[in-house]
Amino acid sequence: MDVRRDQHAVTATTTDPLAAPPPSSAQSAPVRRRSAKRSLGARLRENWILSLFAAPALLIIILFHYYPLLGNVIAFQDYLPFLGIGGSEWVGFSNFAILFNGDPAFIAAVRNTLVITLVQTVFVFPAPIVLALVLNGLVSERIKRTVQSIMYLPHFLSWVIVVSVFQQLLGGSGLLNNWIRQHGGDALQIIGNPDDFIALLTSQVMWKDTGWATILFLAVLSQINTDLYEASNVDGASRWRQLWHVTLPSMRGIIILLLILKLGDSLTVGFEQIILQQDAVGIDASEVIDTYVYNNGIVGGNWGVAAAVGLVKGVISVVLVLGANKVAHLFGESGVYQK
Amino acid sequence: MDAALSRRSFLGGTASAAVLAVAGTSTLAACSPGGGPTGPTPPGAGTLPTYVPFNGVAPDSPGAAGRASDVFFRYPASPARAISAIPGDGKPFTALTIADVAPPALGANQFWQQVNERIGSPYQPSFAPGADYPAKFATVSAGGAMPDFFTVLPDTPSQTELFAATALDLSEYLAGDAIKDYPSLANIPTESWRGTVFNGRIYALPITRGIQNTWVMYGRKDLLAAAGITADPKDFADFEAQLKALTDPSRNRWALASIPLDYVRQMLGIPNRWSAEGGTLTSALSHAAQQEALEATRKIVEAGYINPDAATSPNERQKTWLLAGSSAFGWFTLSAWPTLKTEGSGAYDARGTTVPGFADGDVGRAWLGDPNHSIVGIAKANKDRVKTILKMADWLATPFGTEEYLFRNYGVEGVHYTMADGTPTPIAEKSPERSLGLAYLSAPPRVNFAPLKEVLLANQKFEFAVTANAVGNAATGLYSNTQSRRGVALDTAIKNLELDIVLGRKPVSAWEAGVQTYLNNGGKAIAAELQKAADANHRTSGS
Amino acid sequence: MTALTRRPAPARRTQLRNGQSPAHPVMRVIKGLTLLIACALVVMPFVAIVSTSLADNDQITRAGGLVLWPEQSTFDAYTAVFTGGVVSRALGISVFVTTVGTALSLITTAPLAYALSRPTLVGRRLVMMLVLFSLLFTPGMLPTYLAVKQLGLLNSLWALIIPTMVNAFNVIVMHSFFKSLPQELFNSAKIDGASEWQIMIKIVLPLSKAIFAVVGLFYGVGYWNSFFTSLLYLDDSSLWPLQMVVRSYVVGGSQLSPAELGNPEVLPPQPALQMAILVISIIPIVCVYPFLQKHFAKGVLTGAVKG
Repeated sequence: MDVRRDQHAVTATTTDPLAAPPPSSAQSAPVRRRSAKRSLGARLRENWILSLFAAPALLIIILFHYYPLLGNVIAFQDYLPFLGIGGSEWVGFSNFAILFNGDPAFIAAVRNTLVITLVQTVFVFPAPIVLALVLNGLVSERIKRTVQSIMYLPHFLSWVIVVSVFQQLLGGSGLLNNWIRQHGGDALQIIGNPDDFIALLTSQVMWKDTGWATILFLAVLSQINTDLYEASNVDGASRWRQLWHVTLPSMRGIIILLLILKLGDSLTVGFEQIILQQDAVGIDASEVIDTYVYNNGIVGGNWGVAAAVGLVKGVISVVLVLGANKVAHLFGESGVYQK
Repeated sequence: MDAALSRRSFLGGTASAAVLAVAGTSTLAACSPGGGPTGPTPPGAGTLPTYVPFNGVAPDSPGAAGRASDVFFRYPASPARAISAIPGDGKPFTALTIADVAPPALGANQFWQQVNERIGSPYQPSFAPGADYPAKFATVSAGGAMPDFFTVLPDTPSQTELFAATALDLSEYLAGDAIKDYPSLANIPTESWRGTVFNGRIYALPITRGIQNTWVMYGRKDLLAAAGITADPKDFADFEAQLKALTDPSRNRWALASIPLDYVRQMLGIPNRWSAEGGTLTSALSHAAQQEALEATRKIVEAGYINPDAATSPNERQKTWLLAGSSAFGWFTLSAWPTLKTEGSGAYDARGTTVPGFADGDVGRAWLGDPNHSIVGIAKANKDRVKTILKMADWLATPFGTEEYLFRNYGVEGVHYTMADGTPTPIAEKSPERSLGLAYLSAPPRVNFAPLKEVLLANQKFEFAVTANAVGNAATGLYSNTQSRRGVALDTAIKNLELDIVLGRKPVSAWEAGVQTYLNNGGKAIAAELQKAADANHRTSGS
Repeated sequence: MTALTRRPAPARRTQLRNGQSPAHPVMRVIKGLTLLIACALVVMPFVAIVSTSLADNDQITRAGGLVLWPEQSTFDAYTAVFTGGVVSRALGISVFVTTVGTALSLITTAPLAYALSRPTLVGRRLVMMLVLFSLLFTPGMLPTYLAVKQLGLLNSLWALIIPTMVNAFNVIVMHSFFKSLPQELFNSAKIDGASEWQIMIKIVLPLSKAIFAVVGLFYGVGYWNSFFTSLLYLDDSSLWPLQMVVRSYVVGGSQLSPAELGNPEVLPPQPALQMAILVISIIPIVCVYPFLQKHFAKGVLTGAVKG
């Protein structure tokens, strides 16, 4: 591995430590302009190997994603599995009514969803970035690896287990509160408090997935050209300056990418995690779009409703992601994809 | 439909009326007019099988259908085979059913190999654990080809259409006296067959539970005695006083492991989901005493007599509180008693508590549970071998006391269990072999069997006591399409409201509006559909 | 192409291995404490899970479910789980599905991501949209099942691999990673007459070990953790992977009452059993991680070509 890396090693290094890893638009633009003039056939002939690279994965996506996606026409049916698409009744847009009937409970669920998304974007999203930066700055490789190995463990527990473990440790009759009461203290209401539900959800998500999400950022950090640091070291740059001028700019691309994808997911917040804990805090505090649709539509085996909601959410996601991507382009970022 | 069958059907109806009187329910199977599946709808309502109890072994203490389970202290010595012929036809039979745990594969599973040999057809099951079963079931039914046996859980939507489209109509073979060809199936009480009838035809086999699904309040008699409590509560105030005496949060003790809303409702005489007074089906949600029940329960919660995690903990965890003695009362089914063994002493101290009247003049009534765990359809493709399939089902339902039952539940002596003094002891490491879901394909009535004479007799005595005036759900066996499609959603909303109220998150007065919403969003339609089904039976008030 | 020289090792220890300057001592203490607390918070529940798997029933009952430390350790639960051969068989299947699946996933995902990162790919925008939209629109459970059935994959282990082989998120992440590689590398290679194949193998792959490790881990963990595909696509329970077996222990519960089993000593699966099987299901995948860590411990791009 070292040998191979060294094959590409060079003495001359980047002199401008402030430069972000350059997105390639400048270099690639002429190429694209040139090829646009040629016929499709000629371009295919010239670059057939790239198309070949793309083909197998695309085939899988088409076969197992787009082909079954056709089945989502059941959004317009009162679909019963044993009758099939052919035998089920067509019902027009009535499955969509659940989203557009103006039920105050649904509007409350949308509000809850957006609040939770916002809170989680503010607290959950940066957590792995911070952890990655902290780990990246550690001197001891051993400590770094140990911490990493420990922090990513909870990702492997299912929500059923996580919720159950949280309850048994922090619940009203959980280990912590039992201990407090035995020692004469007042029990803490951590689990069943509607006012703190979002905080509870957020801390559970952070507990479960911060370490896991760190992995991607660590990989990105590992790609940073260390010469950049060295160059700035020579300049006598402080640690904060390094962070600000070298580290963060290198992570900017992936952070923006993940933010955009997260934005597309705004309407989806931890369904399983929430539905498992709804009883503790009540519907008003905990109902989100997914649980509302589940509790009010899907539980009766209404597959059509599930498909209808999926379609609407998909359309909204597309609008959000494409919009956010446009905004990213305006700021000169590459976003999820480039023009 | 020949005349003989009609007469047999009529007899079946009479037999069921007798059971009705005992069980306290008052309606018969659904027969919704119009939009029926294939086949003619028979005249009248006499579509149920004749009940012919199995008399092969005498219980050590007999129960009664709808009242109490039969009790056995030991397995009969050298049990006889109930069925001499091998039921199968050599061709494989498939099934979609529930697995408690993953069983070893056929090649490494002596029990499975024996099952194949004894049934005379290779068993090819497909499993899902209970919680995932609905998803598996939906995909299999979407795929088109149903397996020979398929377990249908109670909340499965659109069952009438499902059975009409995928299952064989079994009435010809099972209605009235026809069932006598299958003596073990005839041993299943009529109450359980009610839930297998759709549009007047028998479309499934019941996985019967008798009264075992009935929820009751268990009390730890040792803890109660230590607190000076020796009798069941006389009324609500007495119950409250008992709870107070048993609660001590500083020692992490809360009298109740479960929220006792249904228990309080029973004290107030609120009906079991649906009542049929005066021939009119009415949802218990509209009962006048509901708010009183909610308020009384809310007070119990507020006073801190309930484990603070009760609302969010699954029943299994509530059980451990009772076992560990951190709670003295818990709400479990009648079938739960063997799992309620006191930690440390290993004694069975948890006993059922009868339902007192709420106050002077009130009569408390327990609610009988669903007589079935689930029902089992037979795939349409089996038209030509239906008798073989039913013989297999008959074999799978051979009752306690037979050699077949012993084999199905314990396996092969010396391999899967050891027998001493009429008590079989399973060999633990071979237990997973028996997890083949056979008990969800066809099943005999349940018995209570253990070498624990005192415990079993006390439990049976309690069963007789609590079912003496217990009420069934008047809508059992009546079908409503709205209930099937919207019912779970509506019930979920009500459940959430109940929790909000008893936990103090909403005022009791919110109940009224919640029930109104329930009625407007489908409750009224459900009532009307059930009423129509009941009227079609002309029996709502008759029995 | 370029001059080959070894980067001289740092003379002093005033900088980290990746070249950053060291932190202020106070900051280091704060950081250390934070990490310590974070790790403790994560570890505690795991201690409880492992302890419960080792504790006896009485203690579990007394504790009401989770045990912080077993009074008397017993491996009964583990013995019980491994007898009958179900778990060892399932473990084998999980390892097969995970390794083969991850390999196939990387073999298909990386070329697509690479192709997408090249401006000369014909129909690049369309392909990108196909990938992106597949992330945002998900087909339902039943249509996917029907597709798998029509393609004849039901009841085969391939049904656990092929339908989930390409994950759009991973494609996008990998693509963005390839994009961020210095374009000079590509250009100079092109000038040298290298084909796309040679560029991918000789230049991109060596520089992308970290992202291969990460995406491989994402895929591997995905395969390892998935139980739903086996629930839906496999009728033969002897093909169930480990997570499906775990699932049946955790959520299956035992609906068969022991009331008629004669001997109530034999109870349904206890918390110890559930936790033991949980531990067994986590350990193998956890062991993989340290092997991958080394791939993103150092700056791979150090001294990469410029110009």
